[in-house]
Amino acid sequence: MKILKVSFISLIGVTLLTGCWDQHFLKDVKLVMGSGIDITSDGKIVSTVSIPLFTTGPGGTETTESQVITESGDTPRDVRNKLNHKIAEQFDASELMVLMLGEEYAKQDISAGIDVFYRDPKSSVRANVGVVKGTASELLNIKLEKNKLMSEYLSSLIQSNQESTSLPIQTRPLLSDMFDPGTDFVLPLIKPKEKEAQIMGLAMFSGNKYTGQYLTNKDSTLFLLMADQKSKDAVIKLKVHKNKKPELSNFIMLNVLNLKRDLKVRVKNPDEISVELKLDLNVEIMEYPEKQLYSKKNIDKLNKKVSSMLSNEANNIIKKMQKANSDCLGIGRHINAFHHDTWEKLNWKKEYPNIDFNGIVKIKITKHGIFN
Amino acid sequence: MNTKEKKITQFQLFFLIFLTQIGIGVISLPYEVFKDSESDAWISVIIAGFFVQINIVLIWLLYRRFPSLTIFEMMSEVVGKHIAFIFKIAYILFFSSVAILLILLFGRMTHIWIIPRTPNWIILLIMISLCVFCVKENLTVMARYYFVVSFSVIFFLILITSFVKGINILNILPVGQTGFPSIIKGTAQSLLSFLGYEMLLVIFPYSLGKSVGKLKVALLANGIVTIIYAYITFVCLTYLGPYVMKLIPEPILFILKFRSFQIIERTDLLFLSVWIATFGTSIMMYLYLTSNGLANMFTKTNRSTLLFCTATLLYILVLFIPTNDNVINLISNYIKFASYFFIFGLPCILLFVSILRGKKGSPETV
Repeated sequence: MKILKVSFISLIGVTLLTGCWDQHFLKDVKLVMGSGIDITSDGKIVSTVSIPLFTTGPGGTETTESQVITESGDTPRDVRNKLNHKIAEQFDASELMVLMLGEEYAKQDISAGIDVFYRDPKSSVRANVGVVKGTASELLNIKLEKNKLMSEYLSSLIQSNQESTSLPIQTRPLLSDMFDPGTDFVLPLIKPKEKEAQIMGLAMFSGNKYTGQYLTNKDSTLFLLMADQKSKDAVIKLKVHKNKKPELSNFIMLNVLNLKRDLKVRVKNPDEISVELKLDLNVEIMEYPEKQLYSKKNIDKLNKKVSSMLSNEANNIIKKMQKANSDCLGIGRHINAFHHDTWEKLNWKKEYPNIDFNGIVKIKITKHGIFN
Repeated sequence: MNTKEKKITQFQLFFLIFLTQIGIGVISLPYEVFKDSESDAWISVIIAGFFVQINIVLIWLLYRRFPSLTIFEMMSEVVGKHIAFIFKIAYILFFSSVAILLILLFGRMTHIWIIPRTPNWIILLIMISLCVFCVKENLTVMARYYFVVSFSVIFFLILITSFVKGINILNILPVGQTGFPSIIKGTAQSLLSFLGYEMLLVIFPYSLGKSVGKLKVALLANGIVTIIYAYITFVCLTYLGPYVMKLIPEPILFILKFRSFQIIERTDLLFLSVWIATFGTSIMMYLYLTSNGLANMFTKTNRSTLLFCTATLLYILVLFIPTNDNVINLISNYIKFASYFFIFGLPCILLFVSILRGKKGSPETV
């Protein structure tokens, strides 16, 4: 009797607990791993997706090729539906790795287009977002060397640049910065080339719109240091001398070991806002053909020189940000937090380009390899 | 008092209170509070926790006059059989409607987040039968289940703590910017998530030990719940920022989407699947309270029989209630107001009347 009871219960259990309704077979879906959004001149959305194709080879299942499809529609979701008419299986963006926004599209309000990625519980919100100089479909259509998937390539390109402090790491949802009036954000700017993609720098956003201006690769490391976002390595190249021969001995390569950032925002009234950004860097010399590091005097001299050069560069970056009206260091949020009354009265977008904003960089050479 | 009921230890009492409170409320708590007190939500939560402490002391004072009686039993002592009868029915209805709300919330959440295609009736059937299975024996069995499940809270706290690196403290500054009225409004909102401690009205006499010790356990449990609530509200707020919080009804699950580990992606799904066990604890407790009340009214019938009847009835009812946001909001608003009366108002009146009429129960027999 007892056996009967147990077997009856387990039979019910087996039928109930299989979850037949919500199974997703990998064979029934097309995993979209790279996606791009562009816009046409009449406001239609053009979406390009890159789908890896699985082939069974001698070494098991391999993905060596990807299928790239472009389709247009009114909204990104509409395009998804249309894509479903084209591809054999169901469209599935839950494994999305990269989301590329075409330049023209990014100049519009980008939050509208990526709404679907936040709304759909299945979608992956951790995809790397970037702006393409040109169109996203151009980038995704690049024929890479063999055995490389575009989506994987792009995501590891972005990742490796994040590790060298050339691109920001998205620690918080992009969405938070997008809706916060007290801060703007930067996204990687990528340019399609013949057989590869190239990182151009950081596209500066003002509100949710790409300003069209960007920080070059040269600036981006220092910018990220100013934003207190140092990653594993941060290498800075400087031209410290002018007329040395050969040409290459004019340069110095530095690696930032650690940094201390001090941001002082002084607000007297809404028209008188001054910001002082102090950056203390401990650096390591990686390459310096001019071998003068045996005396302390020379090191001090070099410290001073590099500090003033970097301060200059920092101020240039600040000018660029102010010109683009992009508060990507989140100064507005500081004012909101510490000078709330002023913030309420302030038209930040209007005021930001005119504030008095100074950058001071101080470096200290603490290491120079095993060689003077 | 139901003599068949086995008594629980104070250790077990702690877990009963702790998990009944945490259960479902925690998932949408930061959002619910944020709607009113915005970036000061965490202050509201702490204030709410403080109010609950006072309320627990009140319930305890009432219990101390009747150390061996549940609320159902003491009412007939205090206000007479006829009025007590009405109140008993009201309490039973209140407890069962909280159960209904919890089941609805559970159904909606699993539907939206994990299993959108599975029909609701089967998810709810599994959940309710699990609850019945656990509740039908006695409190000791429940307490053991609660103890095991409490490990999921630790898991949860570790997950939440992994976000601390990405928070921006500027998001909640300046403190107190929304003003005092909004903070108090937010406090009222968050009280719903603290619900669960009212089970003390029934459970106090079923636990072992001195009455002061029980009070301490109850206060400790609620204190820890308050700290956890304030902490997660703080993390959500500083991580997402005030401008996004209003767009995300389940901020805790949402931020979990942003974290992936070496071999695990979509942490939200993993977490929710584990957390379902914790959802169950709240539902179980209210089923228990309802069945306990019914057992008090129908003294001839076994409590587990009554439990089966209640559960079946609730299940059928829930299937007929449309699960859209409007209905759920309506029910939760109704429960919010009802809870002021049943958890704070009525015990207050009972205490007052019992003092006035000089009623006192027999001393506790341990």
